[in-house]
Amino acid sequence: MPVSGNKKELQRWYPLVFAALLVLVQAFFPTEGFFQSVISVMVFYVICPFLFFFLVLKGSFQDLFFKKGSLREGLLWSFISIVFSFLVLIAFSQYTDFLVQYRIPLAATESFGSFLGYELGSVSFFTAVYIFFFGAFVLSSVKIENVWKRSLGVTVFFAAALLLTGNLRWEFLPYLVFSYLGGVATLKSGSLIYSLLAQWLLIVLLDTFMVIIRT
Amino acid sequence: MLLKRKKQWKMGVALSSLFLQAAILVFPFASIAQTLPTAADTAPDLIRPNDIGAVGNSALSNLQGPRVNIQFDKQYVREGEKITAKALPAGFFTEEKELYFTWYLKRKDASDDENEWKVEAARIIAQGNFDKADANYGNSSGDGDGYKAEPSWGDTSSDYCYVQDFKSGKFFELTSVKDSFGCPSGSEARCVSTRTVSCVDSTVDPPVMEQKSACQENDKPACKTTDVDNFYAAPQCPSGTEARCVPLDKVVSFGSTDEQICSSLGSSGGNICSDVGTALTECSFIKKDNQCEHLFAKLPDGFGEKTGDGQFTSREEEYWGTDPQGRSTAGNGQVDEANVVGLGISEFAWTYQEGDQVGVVIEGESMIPTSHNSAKKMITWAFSQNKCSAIEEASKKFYIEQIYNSRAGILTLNDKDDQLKAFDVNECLEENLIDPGISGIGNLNVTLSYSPEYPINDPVNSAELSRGDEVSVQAAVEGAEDAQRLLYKWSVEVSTDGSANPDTWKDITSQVLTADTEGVGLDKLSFMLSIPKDLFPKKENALQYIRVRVLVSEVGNSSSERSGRGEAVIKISQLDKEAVAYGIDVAADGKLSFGQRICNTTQEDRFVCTVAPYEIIGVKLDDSEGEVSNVSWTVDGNKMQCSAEMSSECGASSDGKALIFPVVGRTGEVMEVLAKGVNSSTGEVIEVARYFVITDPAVRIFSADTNTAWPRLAGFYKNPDGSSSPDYSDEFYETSPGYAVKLRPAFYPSWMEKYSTYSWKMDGQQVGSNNMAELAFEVDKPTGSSIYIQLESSYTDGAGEYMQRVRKALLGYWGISLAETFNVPQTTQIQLSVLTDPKTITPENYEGVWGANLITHLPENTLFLVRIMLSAIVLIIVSGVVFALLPVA
Repeated sequence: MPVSGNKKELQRWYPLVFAALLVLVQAFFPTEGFFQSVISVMVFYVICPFLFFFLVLKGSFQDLFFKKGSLREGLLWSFISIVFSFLVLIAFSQYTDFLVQYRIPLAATESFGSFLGYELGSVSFFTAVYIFFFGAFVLSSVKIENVWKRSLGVTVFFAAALLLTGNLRWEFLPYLVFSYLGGVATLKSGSLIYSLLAQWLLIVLLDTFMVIIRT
Repeated sequence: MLLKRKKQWKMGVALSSLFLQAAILVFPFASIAQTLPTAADTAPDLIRPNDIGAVGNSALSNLQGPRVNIQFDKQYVREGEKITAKALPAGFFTEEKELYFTWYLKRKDASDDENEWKVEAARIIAQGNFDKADANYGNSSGDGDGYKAEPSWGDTSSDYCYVQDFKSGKFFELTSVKDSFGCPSGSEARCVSTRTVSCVDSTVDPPVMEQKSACQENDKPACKTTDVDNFYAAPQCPSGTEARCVPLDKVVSFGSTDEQICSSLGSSGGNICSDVGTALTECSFIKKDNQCEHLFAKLPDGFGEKTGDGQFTSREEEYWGTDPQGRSTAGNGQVDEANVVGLGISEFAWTYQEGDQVGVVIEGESMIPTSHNSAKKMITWAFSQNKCSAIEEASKKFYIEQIYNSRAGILTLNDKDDQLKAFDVNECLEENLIDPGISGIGNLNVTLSYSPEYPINDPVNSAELSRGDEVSVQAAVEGAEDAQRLLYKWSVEVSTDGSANPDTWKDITSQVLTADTEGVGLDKLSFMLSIPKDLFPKKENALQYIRVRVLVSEVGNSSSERSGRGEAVIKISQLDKEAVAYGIDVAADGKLSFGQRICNTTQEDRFVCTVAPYEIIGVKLDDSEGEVSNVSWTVDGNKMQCSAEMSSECGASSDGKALIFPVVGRTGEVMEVLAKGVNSSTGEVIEVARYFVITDPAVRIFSADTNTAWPRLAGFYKNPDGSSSPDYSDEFYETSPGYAVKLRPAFYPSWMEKYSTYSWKMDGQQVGSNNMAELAFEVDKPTGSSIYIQLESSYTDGAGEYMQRVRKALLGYWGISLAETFNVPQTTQIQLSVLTDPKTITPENYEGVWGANLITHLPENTLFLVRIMLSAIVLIIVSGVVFALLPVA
């Protein structure tokens, strides 16, 4: 039976549909408390994409950008993405309440040790989760060859996911801003590690800046 | 290739737009979506103004600020009688003696000026019994009786004061504020409206009329709080105008005529307001002055002095009517000005006149810290009826203050007409007036009933083994809106002079009551009468009086909390002597001697001693003080005595205070042994009774430490008076892992222990040696298991020699011929159930816990994990199937 081109394309884009489904399910899966929220994100943003990718799509780690990639490209685009994101955030803080509304747990600001613990623990964890889902799984699911358009697609998807789940919060602004050039960094270098580290570094720098200006 | 890319792009755009459309469609439901966690959610946030609004205020509104309750010493008062109102403040951090009690007394013909009422009361307080007519104020040079009240409030004082809205529970600071619209530089906030005017265009010939629009400014907008909880305010403008930030040179002035407007517009085409400046939708407030003031009675205007300023001049002395030569006219140890400001004056006594109404407002530090960058607590006021509707009507504003590294919103209360003035707390005074004639407060009618009618106190023994009665006092409250919201505070007092109507009562609550004495719904108080002798000021009295009091007050959201006090004076008999029971040993020569003390191991034994038929029992009147003489004994009403021939411990050597008697009767019958004597110090006849219940000979196991092994609650039985008493099992005990259990045998008759050999078995295995008086072990079994303890005994009276002696004694001394022998007990057993946690699993809920459904007790998080993992698996399987069905790309 002949299969039309559009139907074939549908299978190519199926992972993105699945990603959107995961966002929806995560958003409306009932949770109570921080622990359950974290578990929910872990399951729907990490475990499910992993299982889907390896069991259904029969993909490999390389397809999810789990490889060394190009060091030169990675460092270059990570640096560019950090600088770009920081400038955008500064611009945001000029015209919005971003500096006031962006939250850092009070406990993390009490000592350098607690701040370090917060950045290495919580920030690393959530950065890894969101970078994996949007910066690896969704990015690999967007079947556009052009690097810039592909990354833009991920950013649009990310924004739509936040809008859909009512999570357009100031805490997600650094993630959202970074996602565009972070995606470019991943695609250019072929590795997720650079955008992951750059995203983490951006949040650490931003948090440091916030703590300094608030104290 | 190009076509393929185009197709990809189209597909990508189609999917993205589909997802975006879905997002927009679903967006209205986003509020029910789960929050996506971020790192910032891992710990409490830095506070933000909005958070402060939502969190800070809701938290504060749950706090109850200081309250006061007014009690009068009389329920009904007649004209000319002296009446005392006592303020009972609660919720203050400041000690009572440091609080400012501003009393105010409104006479029938008084004006509406609150200060006049305060002056009236302050004069009465400050003057005491001093007669102003005796004083000479002319030549006084000041007698150092000034008092400076703290804090000394001023515009920039950092001591902030607050009032609580009794309805919402929110605290408001008394600080003036001014509007802030945050307009950009070069523009100002105005209410504007577009006005259409007809202008003559004279540049053309002939001149023509043309319609032009101009944006005309009206008044400045007023900033009104729209959401107190979240610190939101919006500009308010007159109808037909809108608030905007406008450059003033771009708008025409209010009141301009058409000609003036046309002239200012000139040749321009005019403008409309929506094109001028920016729309103004939000506004805020800026803190201005601290407007706290003490509520003390004020001196008349032009007096040149202030109450509580530390200077108390002779003019002030004259005004208040105090003694110019004495520092404390009222004689209460405080200087005159301190009395005028009401420092620590918790009682106010005056001669009642018809129509008098009284009130008090108390100032002091509450328990609640301020939101400011300091450790200070809120200074606030408590009102005599704990209400103030004027607060609800006042203007509520706020300002934002930098607190450490964040900002906090602080609510303010301002005059409803002038926001530059803070709310005047004096507006609360009138509705807090109380008419003592009708007792507007304290009008709950509380009556107490108690049982038994003539209870007996046991001053000798501890409450655990007390022979005293258990007194139950029941409160009945009339006039309560909701009986479920009544707070009861119980106290027990003892008469200081031994009479029923002493001048004072001594509080012994803490010594007598071990259970809760205060609680909502606690309408019944029960306690054992085991009051030690030393607690009675007249301890030599055989009859004493105790007074049980209860203060009942309505609690809850009601702004007009009422209260009432009830009391019951109870006459109690002192059971200060005890008839102590002993086992009797029969010697080979037939002489009887007092053996071990019996019936002193459990509380039940202290009331009713268990004995076996034909057991010989000894009783001694415990009279260590040697107060009792001429003692006579009756057993079930029959006179009995104990002679020296019977026992060396009887007769003259015991001064008649000992008795030996045989247990004669059927199983289940109760014998009453009564000793009567004369108390040589009071001359009164005293009676001491002891009861014995006859049971079959038996051996039982009992726990020597009921904290580690306790009898199981078998149920409750109803008493004749309707109350319930617990019924504990003799055979089933409970314990917990790791507990050190101590078990002992109890023989009936008691002497049988001496002639018995017994051994312990635990779960069928013998433990310890024979005749081990106590079986002690640590519970090493898991919860849910049981331990079976057996006590095997055998009678070892040889050929029955001792039994023969008992027979002889019964026949020789009381003429009782005992044909049958004792039914000697053989074996007894108890079961110890091992429970999880005696703190949570009590006899009352034991059955329920074990019957509970396992699922109910599974942790919620475990269920959540199961649920989410199942969902994930279903999601993967379904998506895998769908993917497999799709055509291969």
